[in-house]
Amino acid sequence: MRQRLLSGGARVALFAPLESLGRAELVLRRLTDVIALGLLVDGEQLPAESELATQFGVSPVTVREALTILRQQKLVTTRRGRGGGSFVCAVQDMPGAILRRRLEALTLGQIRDMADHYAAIAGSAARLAAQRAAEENLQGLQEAIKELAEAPDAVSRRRADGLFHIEVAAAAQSARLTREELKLQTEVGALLWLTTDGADAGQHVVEEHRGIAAAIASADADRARELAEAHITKAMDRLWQLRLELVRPEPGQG
Amino acid sequence: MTATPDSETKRQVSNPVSDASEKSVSAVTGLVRDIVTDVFGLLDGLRSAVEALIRSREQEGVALLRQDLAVLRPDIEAVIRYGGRMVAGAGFVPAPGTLTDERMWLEWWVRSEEPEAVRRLLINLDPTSDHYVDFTRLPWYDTPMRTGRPHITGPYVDYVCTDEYSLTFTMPVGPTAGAGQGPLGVVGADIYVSDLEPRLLPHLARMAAPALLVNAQGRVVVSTTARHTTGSLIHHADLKTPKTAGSSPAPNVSGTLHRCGDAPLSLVVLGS
Repeated sequence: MRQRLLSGGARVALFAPLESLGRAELVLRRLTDVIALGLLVDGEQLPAESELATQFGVSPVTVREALTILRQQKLVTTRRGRGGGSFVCAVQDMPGAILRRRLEALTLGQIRDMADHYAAIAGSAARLAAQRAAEENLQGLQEAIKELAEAPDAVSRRRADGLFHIEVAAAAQSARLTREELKLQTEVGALLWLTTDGADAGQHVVEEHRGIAAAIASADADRARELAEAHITKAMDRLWQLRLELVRPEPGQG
Repeated sequence: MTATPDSETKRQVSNPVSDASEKSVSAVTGLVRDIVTDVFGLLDGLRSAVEALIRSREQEGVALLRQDLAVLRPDIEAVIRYGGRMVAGAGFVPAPGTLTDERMWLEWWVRSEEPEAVRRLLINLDPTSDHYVDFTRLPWYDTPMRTGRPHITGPYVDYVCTDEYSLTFTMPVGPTAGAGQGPLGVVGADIYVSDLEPRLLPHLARMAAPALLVNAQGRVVVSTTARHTTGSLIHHADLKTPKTAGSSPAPNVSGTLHRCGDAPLSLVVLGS
């Protein structure tokens, strides 16, 4: 009997490019993310070029190329001589501009696809966490919620939000789900916060995190999954809407 | 003491199954006990080296700097070499303030792909870096610092350093008695669950009944039943049941629990 062949669309996915970006661009994106996410703080010194090259597994030339662009974008500054090197310059509203550019580069279809992926990861992680979390994990969740509730600025809010989701994946005892969550955090974590500016920024996020944590703590796997999926879907819907608005004329003008 | 018990557990073909099971039980508990004793023994050597270094700097009246920690390399490598690619990484994590030139630092080395080679664990550029999470609140650091005793964390997803499912062995360093301050940091070693499993599974698989190695909370490290896989929690009458909100769950396994010496790990052989 003839084996069933994959549909055209599935075949396309099979043979999609393994890495669509160049190496310098990958290094650039990683460093930009790390600075935009506030994981490297203002004035912090980057490791030497050679050390970065070893760490990323690329050539020093590639690192230099990426650093040149970062300098042009005013994300790092380089000082020569003794005590010199590359230093992070994080300007408060700068990450917003970068993130907006990143959002513009995404299609609505890609955002929808990302939303599905993220909801699947977050939902599964929450379901498993409800089945497997021990006291230590629950504490981690509570600490992440507290950090978000008390976060003084946008950068710490993003960080604390990401930390909560990573703690959920860790509570699921899954290294793979945790790595996926980390990847998604880098890819969309910061973008999601574009939609949550303002005075009470993050309060509803805190509430939703509390709900998920409570479901995990009471070992209610179905509810934990449902709440986590809804949490991600809601956030991604806002992002989708924001992306749509980028092409729409201002209200009242069209 | 070594962790290669193959000679003592060679199974006689003529032995009844129960006899073989019994031997496998002591092979597993003995092996786990030996690994734990050996790793903490090697960490104790590293601890002495750290304390000697700190003492000598104090006597000279000079500050302890990050670069001074380079002298610890042989002791760190001795930990990493243990058991033939069993230990994934090891090092010294000074308490904030112990080093004069770095507030937060991990003098941590990991084995690399080439045999006998190690490389420094660099986490400052990773999204899981120490800027991301304050490691001083994590159990592998916090518990020995607080209790003053050796501690095994996990199995857990180590999302700060390696992203692997790991057991982390840590013990506090100093201070010399009565100094009125907390320890000066911890020394530690990581063992990935995926490196431990191949060493234990052959023994577990030889048993007549399904068997599980679990930590003190009932978290499964290795198991021969799909009902309770690695990372899941079992509730056994002889284990301190981890409390989730509200109720303590009822036991979900019955079987004999065998301790592995003083190690906080137990072997559970299922059956009523």
